[in-house]
This record gives sequence, structure tokens and C-alpha cells, in this order.
Amino acid sequence: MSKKLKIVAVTNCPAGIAHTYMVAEAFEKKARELGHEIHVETQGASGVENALSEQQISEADYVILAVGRGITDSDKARFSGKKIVNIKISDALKEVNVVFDELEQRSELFVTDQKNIKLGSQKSQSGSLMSHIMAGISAALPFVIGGGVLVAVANILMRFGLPYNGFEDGLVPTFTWIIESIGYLGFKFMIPIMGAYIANSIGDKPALGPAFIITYFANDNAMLGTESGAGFLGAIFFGITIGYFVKWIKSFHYSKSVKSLMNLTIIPALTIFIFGLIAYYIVGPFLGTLMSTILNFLNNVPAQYQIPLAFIIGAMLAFDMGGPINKIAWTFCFALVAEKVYTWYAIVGVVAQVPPVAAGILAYIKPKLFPEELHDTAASAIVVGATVATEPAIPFALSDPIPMITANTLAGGITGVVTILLGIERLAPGIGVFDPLLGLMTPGWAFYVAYAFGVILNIVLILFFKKIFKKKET
Amino acid sequence: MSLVNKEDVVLELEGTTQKEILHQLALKAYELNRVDNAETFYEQLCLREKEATTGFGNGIAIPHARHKCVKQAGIIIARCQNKIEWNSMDGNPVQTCICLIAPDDKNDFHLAMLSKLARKLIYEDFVEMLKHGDVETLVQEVNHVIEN
Repeated sequence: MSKKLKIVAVTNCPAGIAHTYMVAEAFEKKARELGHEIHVETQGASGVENALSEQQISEADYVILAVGRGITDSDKARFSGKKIVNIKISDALKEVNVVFDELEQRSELFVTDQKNIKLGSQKSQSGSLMSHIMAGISAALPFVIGGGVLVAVANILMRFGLPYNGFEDGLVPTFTWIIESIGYLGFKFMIPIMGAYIANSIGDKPALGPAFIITYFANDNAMLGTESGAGFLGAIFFGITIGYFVKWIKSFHYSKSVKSLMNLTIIPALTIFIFGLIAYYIVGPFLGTLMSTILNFLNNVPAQYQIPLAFIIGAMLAFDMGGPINKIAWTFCFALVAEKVYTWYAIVGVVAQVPPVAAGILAYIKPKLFPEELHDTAASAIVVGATVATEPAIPFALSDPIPMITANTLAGGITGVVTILLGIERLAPGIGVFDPLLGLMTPGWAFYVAYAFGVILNIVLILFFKKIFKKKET
Repeated sequence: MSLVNKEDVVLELEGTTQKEILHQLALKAYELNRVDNAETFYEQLCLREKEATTGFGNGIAIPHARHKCVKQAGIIIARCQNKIEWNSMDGNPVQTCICLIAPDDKNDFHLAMLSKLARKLIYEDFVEMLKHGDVETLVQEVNHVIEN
């Protein structure tokens, strides 16, 4: 048989440490010799490796299943419509020499109705950039949600009359201050944790510590001497660069004696040193310049361009959900409060709440659009998003960044315009959705109109862009 | 710290039956502080052989088990004094055993090392080296495979 075939295979065995891999290697070796193209997914004790992509499966002429532990129906469903050859894993090493010549005779067409169960709207291929970012998100989730709920509780108690003060002037801190301070640690650490786990997913343990430290550093405006830290964009940037940097250093061959010294001491120290300097000397000044340039630009927009400016401000607030771009817009609006101009600060009050509430509601009504680990956080994203901060939107946005962030940004911009047009004013920071009840946001009806408009628009845009980008992919 | 050292190589393993060899391997694993109970690990090795033979031909067997009695992943390379009937795929007796000791822990990166070694076992030159190479070469080659 001289025809060159495309083949995919899955191997697994009871213990998952020997035959799974021997058979995979034997298949690959034999296929190489025969000139066939083969991809073998190993389902071993350390998990699935070389997971087959949808493309590999759809292009394959044959599927070989050498499974000693069996394969679940839902796992097998991805091979619907394919010609499958089943081999007992215990016979596979013997049969490897003949099976490639007998594919047609031994295969059976497999068809199932069962839909291929997917993780959200897009499946992140293990080893892809998206899978690394998802690793960061799942690690950061409990931080932002757990911490956020504490802050929300503190704020609500405070607005309904409980006293609030810290250690200042020798006072005894109040309960509200204590739980709020603890809760804010969640926001503070979600960024470095995200960076750390993205890096860990790429470069393994030696990358985790350095990425945590550097992402924390890059997000600490006081240490950088800037107005804002690098936010989640910094976490993604440093998580990925540090991850690949460590992976690269590890790829050289070291003698046994040096290896553990490298992993435990040299790699972390060197990585922290190099990326610390990059954060301080490049990212810090870049952030500083970026912020002052944009702020300067915003401040010089002539008054007749109020509507486009409102769009830009709204879009910026929604874009990076608490990151530097958001911070610039916030600074611009908050500075105007000092000049007794309250309309711009109202945009902050409305737009900051829209992305998390919209994502949370959507995750409720259409959970399939999001990865599984986000489903249970929908409720807390809504509560925290509606009372405290935009950060709970980050995991949802990053699970499918391009359509989500496009939708959030556009919805933020348009909602900003609507807020200005309705003449809403916000006098001081409050607790989000309850602000009108406290008299901080006037007129109250207009606030709720703009709010509802923003959330609905955001949801519609997410659905729209998710559809568009999904089409593009296929 | 390498996964395989000279202590992990046994050149003259005593025994005349598969059971005796598996028992010797389990005792060795205990001696090397890889498992916290030799008998439990022995039972696991036997259980694995019952499921399907690990003698995959050419006089080589890879008895192995993954169990919570394993404290630390490891590899034992053992050459037997006698030819052992193993119910191998090619029917030939076994004289060299590569025993893989795996902890019941998904995250252990040692599992990845074991899988690299397993992949290598289908190559004749590597197997030849396992059967006849001297201890130094053995340790060096095996470590080279699993650390890359």
C-alpha cells in the first residue's frame, strides 16, 4: 500500500505509565517508516498529552483506538463519522507491524448522535496560548470573587450606617474596615496569581515564583512610581514572557549536578532580576508616559466634542477592567469632581458596573458560552460587579478575549454617551447599583435607564461578536 | 538529584519464577525507600501482570504499578540470574526487567519521566543497551532519556 494516509490514534492503559507511551511511540515510529502522518493522543497517568485537535480528527482517514482502560462515550463522540480501528492495548505492540496494512479491512464506520461536549464556545487546546491564560484565570477566580464579596459586604454595611475607620489617629479599626481591607487583598493578589499561573502553565514551577513577584511589582503603582499598575494586561504580558523565558532556559542540557541548582536558584533569581529591570525601566515609564499622554489629550478635547469624548471615556473604562486604561479614564473623570463637574464621574458609576453584570447574567442564561469553571461564579460576579468593582469581568473576558473585550468596550462607549445625554451626575463613590438610593447619583431613574441599557447592549454585543468570531474561526 | 542511580541497578536478581522476581523487585523498591510497604507493592505488580503481560518480547519485561503506597517515583533496572517464564508476547523468557514505580499522583513530574523511558523501550538499540550495557552506561543513558 503506497498511499500516504492521515491517521489519529488514542492510547491508554490500566496503569497509564508504560504501554500508553510505548504503543504511542511504536505507532509514531511505524507510521514514520511507512510515510503516513500520525498524531497520537496519550491518556496516561499524568493526564492527556498531545490532545488531538478538531482539525487533526477531521482530516484523518482512520482513527486507531488502542485503549486498555476504555474510552467514554462522550470522549469517543469526537470521532463520529470516522473509520475506527480498535486494538487491544496489550496486543498493540505485536500488531503495530501489520495494522497499518489492514486499516481498511479492520475499520468500522462509527456514528453517534451524541454531541461533542465542548468547553464553552471555544475549546482551548492544551498547550495553546489560550490554555495557559485559562490556567491563570482559574487560579485568580477565587481571589477576585472571594475578596470581592467581602468588600461588597463591608461597603453595604458602611452605607447603611456602620462606622468605618482604620488605625488612623490611634483609633480602633472598625469591623467594616477590617473585612474590607482583607477583601481588597483578593483584588491585589488576583493579578500576580494570574501572572504566576500563566507562567507556571508554560514554563513549569521555576517560572511561578518569578512571575508572581514581577507581576505584583508591575501592578504596584507605588513601587513603579506611576499612577496605575499594569493590571491584568501586565499579568498576561509577564506571565507569557516569563513562562517562555524560563522554558527556554530550561531547554538547554544541564548536567545532573547543576539541574536542581538551576531550577531552584539560578533560574528564579536570574528571571526576577531581568524582568524586574524590564518592569521598572521599560514597563513603568511606558505606563507613565502612556497615561500622561492620554490624560493630556483627554483634558484638551474641546467642549463641543463632548459626545465623542464620552464614548472614548466609556470605552476606556470598560476596556481593561481596572487596568491602566481604565485608570486613566477614571482619573480624568474623578479630577473633574474636584471642579464640581459631576457628569463625567457618572460615566464611571454606570460603565464600571456593566461588564461584570452583563457577563454574569449571560453566564446565567447561556452557560454554554463560557468555560465550566466560570458557571458557578456568575452570581458572585453580578453581586460584586454591581456593588464594587469591574474586576469580576476579567475571567469572563479572558476566556474568549477578542469578542468579549470588543463587546465590552463598544458597550462601554455607547453607555458613556447615553449617560452624558441623560445628564446623570455622580457626587461621590458609593456602592454601585444602590447609589441613587443614597442620593449619590441623580436623577435616579435616568441612572437605572442608562444602567439597564448598558447591560442589555453589552449582552447583545457579546452574543453578536461571539457569533461573528466563531464563524471566522471555522 | 537524578531519578536513577547506581543503587537502582541490580545485576544478579535471584529467583526462578515470575512471582519470585516480582517479589524481589518489590523488596528492592522498599529498600530504596520508594514504597512504604513491599507486600502491597508486590500485590500491585502481580495484579498488573494478571491484566496483561508486561513481557513485551525480546527478553524484556516492564513490571510496573501505580499505587498510593509509592512514596517516590523510581525505576529499577534488574537483570535476572535465570531466564524467567513470563508469558511474554513473543513467548520467550525474560532476563531483564525494567520496573517502573509510580505514585498515585497526577501532578508528579516523575510520571512524565517514566513515560519518556517507556517510549524509548520500543527501540532495539536502547533495549540492547539495557540488556548488556555496563552499570555506568545504563545509569547515564537512562537519565539522559528521562531528563530530556
